[in-house]
Amino acid sequence: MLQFLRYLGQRVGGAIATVFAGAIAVFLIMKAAPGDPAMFVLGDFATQQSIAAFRARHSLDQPVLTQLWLWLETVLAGNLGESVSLYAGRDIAQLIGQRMPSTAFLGIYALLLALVSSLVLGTVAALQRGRTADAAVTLFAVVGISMPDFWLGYVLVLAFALTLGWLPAYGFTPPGESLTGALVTGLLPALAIAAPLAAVFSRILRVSLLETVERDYVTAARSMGYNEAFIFINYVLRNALIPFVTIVGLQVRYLLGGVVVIERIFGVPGIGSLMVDAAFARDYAVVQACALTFLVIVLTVNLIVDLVCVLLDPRRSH
Amino acid sequence: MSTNALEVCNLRTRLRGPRGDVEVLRGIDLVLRHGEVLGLIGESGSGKTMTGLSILRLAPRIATVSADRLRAFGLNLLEIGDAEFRALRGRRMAMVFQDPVGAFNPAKTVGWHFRHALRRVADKAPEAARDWRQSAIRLLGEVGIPQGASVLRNYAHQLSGGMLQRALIAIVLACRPELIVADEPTTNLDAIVERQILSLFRDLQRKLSAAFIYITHDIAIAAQLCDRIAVIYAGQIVEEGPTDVVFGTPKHPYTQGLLGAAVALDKGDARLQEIRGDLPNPAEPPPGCLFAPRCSFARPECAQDDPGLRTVGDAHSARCVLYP
Ligand SMILES: Nc1ncnc2c1ncn2[C@@H]1O[C@H](COP(=O)(O)OP(=O)(O)OP(=O)(O)O)[C@@H](O)[C@H]1O
Ligand SMILES: [Mg+2]
Repeated sequence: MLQFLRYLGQRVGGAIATVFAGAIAVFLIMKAAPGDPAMFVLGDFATQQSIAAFRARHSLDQPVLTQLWLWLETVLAGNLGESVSLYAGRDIAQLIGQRMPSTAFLGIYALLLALVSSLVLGTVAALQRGRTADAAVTLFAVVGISMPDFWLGYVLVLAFALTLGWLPAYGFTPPGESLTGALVTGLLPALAIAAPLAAVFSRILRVSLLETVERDYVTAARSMGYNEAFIFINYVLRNALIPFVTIVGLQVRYLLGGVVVIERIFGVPGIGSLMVDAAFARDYAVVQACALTFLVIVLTVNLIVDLVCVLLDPRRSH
Repeated sequence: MSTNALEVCNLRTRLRGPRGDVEVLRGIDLVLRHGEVLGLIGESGSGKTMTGLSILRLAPRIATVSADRLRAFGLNLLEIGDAEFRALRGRRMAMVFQDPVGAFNPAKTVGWHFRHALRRVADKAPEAARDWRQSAIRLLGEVGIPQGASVLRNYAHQLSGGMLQRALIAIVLACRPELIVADEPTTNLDAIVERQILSLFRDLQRKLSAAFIYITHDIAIAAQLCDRIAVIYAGQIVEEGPTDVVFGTPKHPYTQGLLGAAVALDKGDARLQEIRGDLPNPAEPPPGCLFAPRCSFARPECAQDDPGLRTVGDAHSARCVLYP
């Protein structure tokens, strides 16, 4: 237990250090990009004076390192600052808090869809190795991996919304308003994010299962006369899940990339679309806050995945 | 008892490979009487493990197994369906593996393995299945593990190979099988533990009066433990007979070479007759006698036909043209 707490402490400490380093990197990248929030707020015909006044008010005239320090100070004080241009004057933490449920809902929805379908597809492919079902799953995987998610998003909209009219093409009901509404309006965007992930996951699971089937302990289990379903669940799947979960954890960053794009396409008012809008408005503080939020999400998910792996794999917890 | 514990006739196993099929067992013949220990000896790659796996219908997916005769406990194993065969394993027949660490599910405790093994034979020993923990601790005590309760809580990676092999033997003991294939169960253990495990096997055999196929390439172990010896070479039995006869007056040049090699190792004198060369490539076996290319007594006719097993003495046979 003590060992476990020490391990947890190390991981959390590492995560905090990563967030800190990530915050600085995000800041510097934003500053390196061209553009000026003053132009966005004041328009193309603003006078030199009004621009200078705007820049002074938001400390944009300071050296970059001073700006970095000022920003870090606010962040360390537990404050994300205020929006400069996109929602001028609004508290950023509040903006993110408002949009977080939609993004979290969409991400978890997509992840669950991807996990469930890949568990089914990967298992079927492994059990039917070399037969038609296996080939079909491979075909799905190849298509799914090579298809960009925004394109899949448009195809889904075209098929299910515009042609069949089963689901709305645009707009999203946040889960706070109506859970069923969120499940229905979120289905197409979640599918668009989940499909490429499911393709990757099912391939990984198939390989992992086929490798595990060859292990000596599976032959040993068969020598004990256990039935095939018992062996598959307790020996094969159980042990194949360890590498599977590890790799799934590494893929979560791509899930977030998908979330950003898909939120824009389907008009989901989440952190991804906030980030894109803020980038167009050169609202540095908002973009940084969004990026930080994503970073925290990725690190939290990685931490959870790590803990799940430790639970699944006694060799790691001892 | 009239029927034999196991009868194997012309057992052949082919493996599908990227470069075509390879026959790794080329007609194994074995007879095992009740309560008898048969030592299956031969060099690495000769097909010892595959013989055990093929008999228990555990050969890998890529294998195709055929036989003219395969009977155990009076049952025709060739006619039995997979489900029925499965019901025999872990109840009437069992296997002990070379690598005890690899034989345990790494995600489950040793206790988990006992619980499920005992549940599987619950009809034979209902009270043992009901209080599986108590029975497991008692079984572990019988194989020389006094601290059973703590071993049950451990995972395989936390225990030594010797400890795990004992635990595995205790599990097999719980199943009370009539036929046991033990595949080099002491190869990965150090000398002291090896001796302990061997004496355990002797106890086990006495307690269960089970028939054993004991696979090994260690002639000293085979001599101590086995009633009869079958020597396997390139997927064929080349000599078979009572232990003292086979080791006292070996007839097949391969057995003679094998014993010579064993003597050479013991005396540290590598000049004593040993076997030159390697096992034939299973994909391109030589014509006639498979051992002929390595045999110092080879004659021209050896490359013509497989000599077949010939009687060379009382219950003693060898596959060699030297004996008419
Ligand atoms: N899963 C497999 N795939 C391909 N070939 C195999 C497989 N298992 C065994 N073989 C081949 O079958 C032949 C017999 O192997 P087997 O394992 O029975 O030998 P063995 O006598 O048990 O050797 P050892 O003393 O090393 O355990 C060898 O040529 C081996 O390469
Ligand atoms: Mg072997």
